[in-house]
Amino acid sequence: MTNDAVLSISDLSVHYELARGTSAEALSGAHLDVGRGRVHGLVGGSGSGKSSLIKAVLGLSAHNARVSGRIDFAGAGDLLRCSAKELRRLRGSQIGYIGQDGAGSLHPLMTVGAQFRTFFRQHRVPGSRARHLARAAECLSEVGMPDPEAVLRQYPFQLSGGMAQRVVIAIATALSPALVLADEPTSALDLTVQRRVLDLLAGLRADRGLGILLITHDLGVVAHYCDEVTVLHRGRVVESGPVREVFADPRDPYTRALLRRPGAPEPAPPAGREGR
Amino acid sequence: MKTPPLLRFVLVRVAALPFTILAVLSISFLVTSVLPVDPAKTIAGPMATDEVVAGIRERLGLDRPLVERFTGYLGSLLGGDLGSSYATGQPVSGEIAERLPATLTLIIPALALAAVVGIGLGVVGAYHAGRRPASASGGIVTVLQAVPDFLLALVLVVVFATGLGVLPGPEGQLSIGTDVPPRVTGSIPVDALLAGQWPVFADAVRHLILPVLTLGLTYSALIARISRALLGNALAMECVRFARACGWSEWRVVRGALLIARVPLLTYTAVLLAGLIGGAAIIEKVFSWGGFGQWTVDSMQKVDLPVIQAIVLFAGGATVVVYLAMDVLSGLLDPRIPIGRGKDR
Repeated sequence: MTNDAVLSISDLSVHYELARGTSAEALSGAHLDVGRGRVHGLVGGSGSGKSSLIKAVLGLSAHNARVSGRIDFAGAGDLLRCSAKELRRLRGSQIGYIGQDGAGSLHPLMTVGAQFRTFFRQHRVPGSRARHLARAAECLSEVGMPDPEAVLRQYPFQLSGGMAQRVVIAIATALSPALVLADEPTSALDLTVQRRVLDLLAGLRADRGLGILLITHDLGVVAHYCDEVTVLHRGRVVESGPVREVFADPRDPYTRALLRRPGAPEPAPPAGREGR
Repeated sequence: MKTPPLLRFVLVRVAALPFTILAVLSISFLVTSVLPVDPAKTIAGPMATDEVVAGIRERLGLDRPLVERFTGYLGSLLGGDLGSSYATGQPVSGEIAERLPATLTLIIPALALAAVVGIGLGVVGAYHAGRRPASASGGIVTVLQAVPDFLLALVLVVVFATGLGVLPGPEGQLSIGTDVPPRVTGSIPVDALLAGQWPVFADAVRHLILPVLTLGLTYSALIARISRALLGNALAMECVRFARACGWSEWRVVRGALLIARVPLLTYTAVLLAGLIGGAAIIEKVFSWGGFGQWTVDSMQKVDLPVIQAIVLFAGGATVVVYLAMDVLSGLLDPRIPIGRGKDR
């Protein structure tokens, strides 16, 4: 693990206890580090264990999941040994989460303003209703939302998919978390909006020194936005390292197969990509 | 000149009310007239001669053609006359004013109890899905649903009235010999309260407990099932995942899910309420309640056509009004339903 890691996962295994004493392994000895201000891409097909990993980091594993290993989070120690109460406090304030479906992530019967206020109250952010709403409007303008005051009065069904995802990002980053878990944040959006949302995340990373774990199956996105990449296949890490190295010299047959697929980036990433 | 959308919605629906009622009345008139029973024979009794029966038929106007009877009935209805009971000769409207408050006194607290118990069981069942508390809740629901309401009523009476003697038996709404308080609303406990007659109020409440418990527990099984399904769906939504990932407490997450389940749950409860106005007959009968449902069954047995027509008219009207109230309430509670708002919202 690097000294500057926000998140450091080592030897993480997750298996699910099924009926009659049987169990299914979802993740076996996984490891990955997300550095401060870095974007770490996590690539893998369905059933590769991506969602089990995310849930374990959030402390929201299913009731029948048995999790072992270490998940070190900057400032909090091993998340697997934190109490439910501590984990709840970390979620939202220190660890942000962005899902696939922006519109679906918002409560359908609460205005955007009400969702911000509930979020602030749940994290005991002091201040009146007016102060909370003013702060929410600031968060919305930081994610490039035009006319934030009007958006605060709207319900999710009145927002477009891209706008809803912006609201989700604004909430997930409102309390300046150190880490954001972005679980295929653009898979539900059309292409032009995808780019804008990813650019927004990359910008927040640069401005705030945010560590981002970006789950995606789009290797073009990995090539363009990520610093490091980890490839999961059937619950095991089959490849990990800096994007440039992995793409130039993939070790594992699975990664090579991924890179041969149509739409995959050229072995050498584009020269003008962001990063530091 | 602009009418608010909510008001316009209500006005349109109220304007449609007479047509709905007319359709219901026509069907019920037709159905009761083709029944293979003769009210005149029922009134005259089995020993009556044909002349006596014919005389009754003529007196009641049953010898005239169906269309003429129907138009005559509609005419007097427009004049506010619901007709008189064949059996008692009393005006039907007076009897409705007597019996409807009795039924409402029974079913409103019963439904409130059913909602509290049912939603409670439903929340436990949905929240702990697949784990022990959910199985326990599911077991209770199955038992409540499997036990017929009249059996539950009898068990409660045997235990609390006959056995322990702590509550009155099935003797109606008040103890025998207790004077009915001066009539204001027609509901005995409410009237007793308004008149400040505390002992009468206490007596009325004691008489309410067992029938309310019976109906409430029976219907709580239905509400538990529907609320478990609705909440289960709500808790599986992506917004619940996001709320948890944002650090919402479990209590707040469940409240958020209840908010989503609220409108369909209210609609379902309204359907139960509309059905219970005439549908609590068995329990009313068991407890000698003298309410609307008991009256319905009695009138059916006597082929008391004016009463049956009035009940159909009234139950149909009440159903339409309850549903209208429900639609308005749904529109106010759910921003996605465009009632009560401009088109652009």
